[in-house]
Amino acid sequence: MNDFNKRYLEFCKPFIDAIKEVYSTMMSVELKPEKPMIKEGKTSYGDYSSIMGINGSYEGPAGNKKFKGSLVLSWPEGVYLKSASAMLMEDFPEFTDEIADVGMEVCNITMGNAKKMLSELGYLIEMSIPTSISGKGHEIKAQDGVVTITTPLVSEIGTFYIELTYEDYEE
Amino acid sequence: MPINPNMKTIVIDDMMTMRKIITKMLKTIGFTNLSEADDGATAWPMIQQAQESGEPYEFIVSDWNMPKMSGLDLLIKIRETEGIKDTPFLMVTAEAEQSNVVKVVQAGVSNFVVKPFKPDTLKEKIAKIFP
Repeated sequence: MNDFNKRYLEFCKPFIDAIKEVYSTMMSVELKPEKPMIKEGKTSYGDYSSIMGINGSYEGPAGNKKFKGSLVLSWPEGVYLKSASAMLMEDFPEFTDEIADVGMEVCNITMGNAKKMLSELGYLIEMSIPTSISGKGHEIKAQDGVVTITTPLVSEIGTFYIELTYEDYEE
Repeated sequence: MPINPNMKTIVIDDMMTMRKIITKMLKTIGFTNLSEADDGATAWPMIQQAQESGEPYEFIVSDWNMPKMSGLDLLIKIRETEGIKDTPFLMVTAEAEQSNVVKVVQAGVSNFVVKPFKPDTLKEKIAKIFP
C-alpha cells in the first residue's frame, strides 16, 4: 500500500467511528460497518443524501500538505424515516419538512466528531455547513480522478451508506 | 441559583432537528418558557427586544456552527452588552477540540455540551450552570 492510500484509510476511519457514536448515543442504534468498496458511477445508493465539503491541512510524518474531500451520508427512504423517528423520539411514517434536516444534522455531528479525532492525527479540518439532495437515483459526482470509498452501515433499522473522498497535494 | 421552570429560555440552532431535540429535552427537565431562533442573527434582535421590554432571556442555549452569526459571535456580543452580559449561556457544539473549548471559555461561556449527547448529559451541564 502506498503512502497516499495509507493516508486515505487513516482519514476515513474516524468518520466511521463518529457515525457509529452518533447513532449509538442519539438513536440507541448500533451500526456495523461492512467492507468498504470503491464506488462505481455517480448514482447515489440512497434516496436522501447529506453532504459536507472538506478542506484542511495536514502536518504529520508525511510532511505538510493541503487536502480536500467530501463526506456523504446516503439513506434509503425507510432507513431515513426510522433514523429521524429514533432521533426525534416520535414516529415519522413519511417524509415531511419537520425531518428534512435530520440528515444534515447527523452529517454535521459526524464531521465535528471526526474532525476532533483527525486533529489528533495531524489533519486539521475547517468546518463547513452541510447541504442535502433527495430523490430516487440522484447523482453525486466526485471530482474527476478522485476515488470515492463507500462503506455500507448495517443496523437493525436497515442499511445506509457513508461515502468519503480524499485528495491531498503539496502546499 | 436552582433551575426555575419558568425561566425565560431561548434555543438557537439553524437545524430544526436539533432545536426540536433540545427543546424536548429541556421540557423533560422541567423548562416551560421556551422560545426558538434559527440563527444567531435571528436571535440577537429577539434578545435585545426582550431586554428592552424588561423581560430579558434568563438562559441561552445556542449552537456554535450557524451560517449567518455563529454561537461564538453571539456570545461575544452578549458579554459586551450591559444589562445582558451575565446571562447564562450554554454552547452546543459538534466540535470538541481543545482549541475550540479554549475559545468559548475565553469568550465567557457558562458551560458547553458536545454533540452527540443524551438527555442526562444536557441535564448535568445545565445543573452546573444553576447549582
